[in-house]
Amino acid sequence: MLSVERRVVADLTESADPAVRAAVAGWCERSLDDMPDGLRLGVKAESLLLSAAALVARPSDLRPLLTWMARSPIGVVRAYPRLVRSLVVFGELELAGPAAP
Amino acid sequence: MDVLVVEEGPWIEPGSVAPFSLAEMDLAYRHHGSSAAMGNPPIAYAEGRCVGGSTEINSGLWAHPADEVVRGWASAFAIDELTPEVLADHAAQIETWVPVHTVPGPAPAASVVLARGADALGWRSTELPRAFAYDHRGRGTKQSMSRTLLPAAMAAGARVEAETRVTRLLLDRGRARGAAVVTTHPDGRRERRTIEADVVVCCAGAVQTPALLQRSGLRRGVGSGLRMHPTLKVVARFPEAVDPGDVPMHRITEFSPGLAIGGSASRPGHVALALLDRSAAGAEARDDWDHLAVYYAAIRSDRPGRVRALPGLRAPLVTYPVTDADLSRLTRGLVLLGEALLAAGAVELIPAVEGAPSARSVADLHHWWDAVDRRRASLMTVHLTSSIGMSEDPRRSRADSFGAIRGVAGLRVNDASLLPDAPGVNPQATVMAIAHRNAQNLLSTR
Repeated sequence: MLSVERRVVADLTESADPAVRAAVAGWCERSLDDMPDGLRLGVKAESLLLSAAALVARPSDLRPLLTWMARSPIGVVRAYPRLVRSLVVFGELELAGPAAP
Repeated sequence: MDVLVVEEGPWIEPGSVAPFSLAEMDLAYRHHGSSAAMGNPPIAYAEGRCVGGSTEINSGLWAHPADEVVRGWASAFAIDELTPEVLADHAAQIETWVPVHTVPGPAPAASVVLARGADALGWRSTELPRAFAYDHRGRGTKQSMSRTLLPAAMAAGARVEAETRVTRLLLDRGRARGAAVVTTHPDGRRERRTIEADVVVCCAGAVQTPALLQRSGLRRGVGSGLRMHPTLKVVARFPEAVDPGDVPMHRITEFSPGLAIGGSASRPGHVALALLDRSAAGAEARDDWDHLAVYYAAIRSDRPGRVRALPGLRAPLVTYPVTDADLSRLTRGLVLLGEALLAAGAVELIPAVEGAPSARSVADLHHWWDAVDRRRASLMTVHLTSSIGMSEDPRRSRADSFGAIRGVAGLRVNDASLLPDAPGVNPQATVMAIAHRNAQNLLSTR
């Protein structure tokens, strides 16, 4: 997982519990690293673009940039925040939610 | 006969992970569940990657394709010995080894909802049996392959090698000689070797089997007929708790086989994924989980997709076209699903369509016709078939009526890739019935 992806995951994770945050980061890292290689290349390219945008804008939190990406007219750009958010939300509910069946 | 089963993924002790959980996705899903077919829109899909394959991660629902679908396959694709009766006989044989039952006693409320909605609208519905065994208290255990046929095969002398990826088939002068494999040992060490065999049977599923054949140099007629059931989901909120812990067994069959309406896994994480377009998806799924359940509308689509193994890439490229007519049918399915859920007492319906309004009445459902488009719909599927097909006509398929690959003696395919088209129902029973039929044919020719 690239460092900017680690930062995105951290910014999207709601739990304040360090153990949960670490577990969610671990789940996201395993999932991203195991993606089909073609998809992973595309995600990495977008992460690098996001990283460059963050260098220019210097936001304290990447969520505004992700919101901007989510409103893009370009499908693959919109898909990026959705993908990472889906991993984080699923991971957080599975790893910190109430006991599920 | 010396039989060796080679599986890329791990052996997971049956019952050691909760169904549909993150732990299961970590261990048993290919790519941790993050697979997608490229297209406009893309379609997310899931495949098993463990001993037992997708039977380890599916819901075990056991449905037979409509008779007219099977007859249509036999005539349109020129397939020998394929009739509804033949498939039913083979499925019945499998059911003597793999217990298949409906739920003893009442089904979960989240499932009964579908029958209630269908009844209110005068539509047909049914409760599907599942490959499940139930104890005296009614607790069910899914009868996946790691619990049933694989232990039986091992007891009869078959060997299973897990964590062993087949990189390519060994083909020599028009004959399959075995496979080149890489085994990952528990200490992480990787061992490359070859396995020799008189007969090689590929059962890696509709994506991995054609990719393996292509990596082995067999490209003509392989991978181009991929079929899926593109699926749109909706989260339904009910005033009462609906026990959403199990996958609904009921299906609305009024519009089959073109359109299937049913229920999905609804753990909190799944509910949140279906609610992803709402800012508080996680909190909503966590706080109101037992009043929420995920349902779907799935279609048989117009045009096939493709699986292509690309040089230098470990995973094949999967592409799938969604036509305007497909999108229209999906939207119709979503609206019909909404009508059924509202008729069953749902108080709010939230479609997995970015920006689409939630519906609280039948009048609200009409807004979905404008809301579903290529940009905003989140499509997924768990049913992938037909990437090789079978036919007596060599122009229609590289495989004959029983999965034997033309031009390569001793090589067969025997999995979902052989289905001529998407069956319009959960495919496990069809895949297993055809596999049993083909296995008998293989044994009869040796």
